[in-house]
Amino acid sequence: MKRIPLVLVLFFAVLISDAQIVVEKPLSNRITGYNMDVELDTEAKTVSGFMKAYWVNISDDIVPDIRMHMYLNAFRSNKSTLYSESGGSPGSREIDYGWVDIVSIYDGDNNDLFDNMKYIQPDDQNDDDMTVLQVMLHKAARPGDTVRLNIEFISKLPSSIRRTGFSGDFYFVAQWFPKIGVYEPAGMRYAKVGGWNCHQFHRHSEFYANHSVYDVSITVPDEFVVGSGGMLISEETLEDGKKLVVYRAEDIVDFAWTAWPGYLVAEDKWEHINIRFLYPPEREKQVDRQLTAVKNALEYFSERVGPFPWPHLTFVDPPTIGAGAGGMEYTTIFTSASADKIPEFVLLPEMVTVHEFGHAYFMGILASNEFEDPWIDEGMNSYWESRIMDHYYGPDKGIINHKDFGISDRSYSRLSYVLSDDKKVTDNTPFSWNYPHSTYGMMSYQKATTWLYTLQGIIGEATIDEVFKTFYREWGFKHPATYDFVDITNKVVTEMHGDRFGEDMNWFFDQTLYGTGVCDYKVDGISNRKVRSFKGIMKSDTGMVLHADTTAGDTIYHSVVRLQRLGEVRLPVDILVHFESGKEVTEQWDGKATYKNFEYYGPDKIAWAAVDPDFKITMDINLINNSYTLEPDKVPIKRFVRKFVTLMQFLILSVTL
Amino acid sequence: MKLVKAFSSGLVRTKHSIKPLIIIWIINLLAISLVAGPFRKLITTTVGNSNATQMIREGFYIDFWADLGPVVLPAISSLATGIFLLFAILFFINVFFAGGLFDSLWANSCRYRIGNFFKSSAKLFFAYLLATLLVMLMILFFGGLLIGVPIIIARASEGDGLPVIAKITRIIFILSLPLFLLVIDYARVWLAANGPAKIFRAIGYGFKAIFTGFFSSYIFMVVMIAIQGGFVFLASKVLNFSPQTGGGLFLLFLLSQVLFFIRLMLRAWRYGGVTAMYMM
Ligand SMILES: [Zn+2]
Repeated sequence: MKRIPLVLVLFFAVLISDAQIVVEKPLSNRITGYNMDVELDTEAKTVSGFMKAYWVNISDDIVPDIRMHMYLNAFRSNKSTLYSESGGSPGSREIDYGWVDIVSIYDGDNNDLFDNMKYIQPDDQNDDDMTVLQVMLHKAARPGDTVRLNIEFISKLPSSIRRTGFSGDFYFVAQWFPKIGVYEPAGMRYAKVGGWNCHQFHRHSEFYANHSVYDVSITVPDEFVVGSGGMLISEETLEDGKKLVVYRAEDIVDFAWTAWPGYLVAEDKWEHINIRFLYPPEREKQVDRQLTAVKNALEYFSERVGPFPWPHLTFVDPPTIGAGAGGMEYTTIFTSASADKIPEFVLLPEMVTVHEFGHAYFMGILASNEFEDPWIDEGMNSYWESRIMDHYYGPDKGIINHKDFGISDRSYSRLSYVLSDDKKVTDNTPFSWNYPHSTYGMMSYQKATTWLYTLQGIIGEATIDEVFKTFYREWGFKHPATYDFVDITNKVVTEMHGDRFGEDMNWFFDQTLYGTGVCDYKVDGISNRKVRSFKGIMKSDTGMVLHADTTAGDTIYHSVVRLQRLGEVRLPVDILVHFESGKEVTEQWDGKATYKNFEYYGPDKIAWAAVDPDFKITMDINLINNSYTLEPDKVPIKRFVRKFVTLMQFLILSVTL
Repeated sequence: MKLVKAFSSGLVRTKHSIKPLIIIWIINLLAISLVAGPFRKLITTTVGNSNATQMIREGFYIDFWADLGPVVLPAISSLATGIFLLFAILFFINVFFAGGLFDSLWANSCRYRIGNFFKSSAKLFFAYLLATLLVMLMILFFGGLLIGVPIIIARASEGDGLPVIAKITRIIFILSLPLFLLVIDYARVWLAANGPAKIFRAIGYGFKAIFTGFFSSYIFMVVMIAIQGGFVFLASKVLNFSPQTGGGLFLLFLLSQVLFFIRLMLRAWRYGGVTAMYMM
C-alpha cells in the first residue's frame, strides 16, 4: 500500500468527521465514514432514513465506481446466494423477507446517481443475488479524491434472524445499510491489479470493510432499550412516544444496534472501558458470569495481544425469542448466547462471550478479509478463546467445568478436527464459500486452532505471544492477509531463536496452514535384550556414548525404543524414556524419517517411553499410541467397566418396577 | 397396626426368600458380565501397551476416550446393540424371576424349594410381563398427560400463568407414583395366589386394593420408596470412589455387589410387605 496519501487521508478524515470524540487520536486511516439518521418502524419492520457517506481514494488509480454491500437483499428471495448455499428460504410470509432499497442517491455535487446503479455478482454470477451494488460515479475518482454520497434508503428487516432481523418486538439490526466495500490497489493483499474487493453475502463469513467513523441517530419507540456499537452521545424524548438516541463510533468496521423493550442493563468498568451488558430478565443470575467472562477476555487480550483501544463496549445476551441473533460480533457490540436455565458447570455463555469479544481483535482491529482468509478471524480467535477459557476456568475445564469431569476448550477444538472424516480434504486457504464437504467450520475454526496450538508447542508460549503482539502492532487497523501472519511469525521466531527452528518457519506452515496431511507419531515398541557383561565404554549403532560407569560382572542390557511416523506431517518431537531405576532421558527427534530408534546399553532396562510427553503437538491425531509401556496399567479400564456393571445392575431394578 | 405388621412380615418373608434372591443376583451378574467382559477386552486391546491409561487415572479424560473412538467406533455400534440387548435380556430376567420371588414370598417358609422358585417363575412369566408392561404404559401415559401437556400448552400460549399449573401437575404425578407401584405389586401377589390366567382381573384387584386400605398401603409404599431411594443415594456416594490399585478395585467390586444385594433385599421387603397386606 502507498504511504504518501496517508497524510492527505488523515487531513480529510479529520475534516470530515469533526474532532475526536471516542478515542484520543485516530486509530485507522478512516478512508470511509458514515453519518446516518434513521427511524425504526415497528409495524412495517423497517429502518429507513438518510445517510451521508464518504470514501477517499488513497490509491494511485482512477476509480470510476463505488461498490457497496447491500446485504439485507440476501433475504429478498430464496434464490439469493445466501439461500442457494444454505438451502431454505427467508420464510413463508411477506413479513419474513428482508431487503434494502435505495430511494435516492446523489453525489457531493448533487449529481443524481440513481440511474448509475446496478447489482453485480462478482463471486458467482448468480443474477438473482442483489447483495453487491455498483454505482458508476459522475466523474471518476482521481487519487486523493473524496467521493461523497447522499443516500436515502429503506431497510426491511427479515424475521428469522440470521445474524440480523426481528423476532416479535426484538430487533437486532446488523448488515443493514448500504456499506462501501474495500478498494484494493495493486499489491495490497492478493490484488494484482487495483479493484474493489466487495463480496456477495454468503452463508459463511461476514466482514471485510474499512475502519470507519459512524455518527448514527436512531429514532425508536420510547419503551425500547437500545444498545449499539457506538458511544452514546445523547438521548432525548420526542413527541408521540418516541425517542432519539445518538451514537458515535470510531475506527470500527461495521455498525450494528439492537432494540427490545425487555432488556435489563448491567454496567461495569474494566480499566478505561465502560462495559454495558443487555440481557433478558430471566437471566439475571447469569449477569456475573457474563461480566466476569468479558473482563477475563479483556485482561488476557490486553496482556498478550494488545490493548482494547475503545472506551466503550456493549454486549448482549439475546432473549430466547431472539436466540438467532446470538453469537455475532460487531467489534464494540457483540452478542453472546445462552439459555434461561444453564448449569454453572456448562460454560457455554462464557465461551460465546469470550469468542465474540475476541473478534474485536481478529477482524475488528486486525481487519482481515473474512471471505478470503476465514481462518484468520475464526481460527486465530478460536485459538485465543480456548487459551482464555482454559486459563481462567481450569486447564481441563474450559468448556465443561463439573467437579467430576471436565472438557477443555483445547480438547474440544482438537477433537472436532481429529474426529472429522474430512480432515484431509483441503487446507486453510479456500475462500469461505469454497470449502468442500461443509468443512468450512472444522477447517477455519478447529483445524486452525489445533495447528496454532501446535505452533505454540513448538516455539513456546512466550514466542507465540510475541508473534501476536507484533502482528497487532504492525497490522492493527489494517488488512492483513495470510502471508502477513506467516512473515511476522518468521521474523519473530528468528529474532528470538536464531536458526534453532531453521531458516524460517515455512516448513511448519507448508504442512499445516497450506497442507492437508495429518500428524501421528507412535512409540512402536520397547525391547530390553540382555548382552554379555563387559567393561569400559560402549558405542551404539547410532554412535552414542553410553554408560561408561559399568563394571565387569554387571548385567548389561541393549535397550531400544522404536518410533514410527504414521502421518504425512513431520514435526520435531521430544521423546521421554523412563528406565526401571526411575532415571529419565529426554531425546529430540526431527520427526522426519518414517522409523527411528533410540538405543541404550547399560544395567538399566527401559520401563516405558513416550513421544511428545508434554502434549505439545496438539494436532497429533492419536494420543493413545504416543506411549508404550511394558506393564500397562489396566486399573482405569477395569474400574470403568466395573462401574458400568454396577450401574446396569441398579438401573434394571428400577426399570422392572 | 396393619402397617407395622406389613413391615415386619415383609422382613420375615425376605429372610425366607434369601435363596431365590441369591439366584437372582448371580444370574443378573452373569448376564451383565457377558457384555462387560468383551467390552473390557476391546478397550484393553485397543489401548494395548499405551501409557495413556495413566491420563485417565485422575478421572474423566475426553481426549483419551475420543482418540479411542476411530478404532473402537466400529465395535461401538455393535457394543451399543450389545448394551441394548443386554438391557432387554436383563429386563426379561428380572420380570421372569419376579414370579418366583413373589411365590416364595407368598410361601413364606424357610423350607421353600428352589424347584418351585423356577417353576412358578416360568408359570407366571407371561402374566407378569404383560402386567408390568401395562403398568409401565399407564405411568408413561399419565406422566405424559401431567408433565408433557402443560409444557406444550405453556409453549403455545407464551404466557407466564401456566408454569404454576405445570408445577402442580408435576407434584400430582410424583405423588401418584406410589399408587402405580402398589397396583403392580398387588396385581403380582394376586397372580401368585390365583394363577396366571386372569391378568386384567389381577390389575383390577390392584386398583381395588389400594382403595380399600388406602392409608396404610400408601404410607407403606412411600416409606419403602424413601428407604430404597435413600439407600441408592448412599450407595452411589459410597461407590463413587476411584481405587487406583487392583486390590482397591476388588474391594470396590465386592462392595458394589454387597450393596446391590441389599438393594435386592429392600425390594423383596417391599414385595413381601404388600404380600402380607394382601393376606390381611
Ligand atoms: Zn467467530
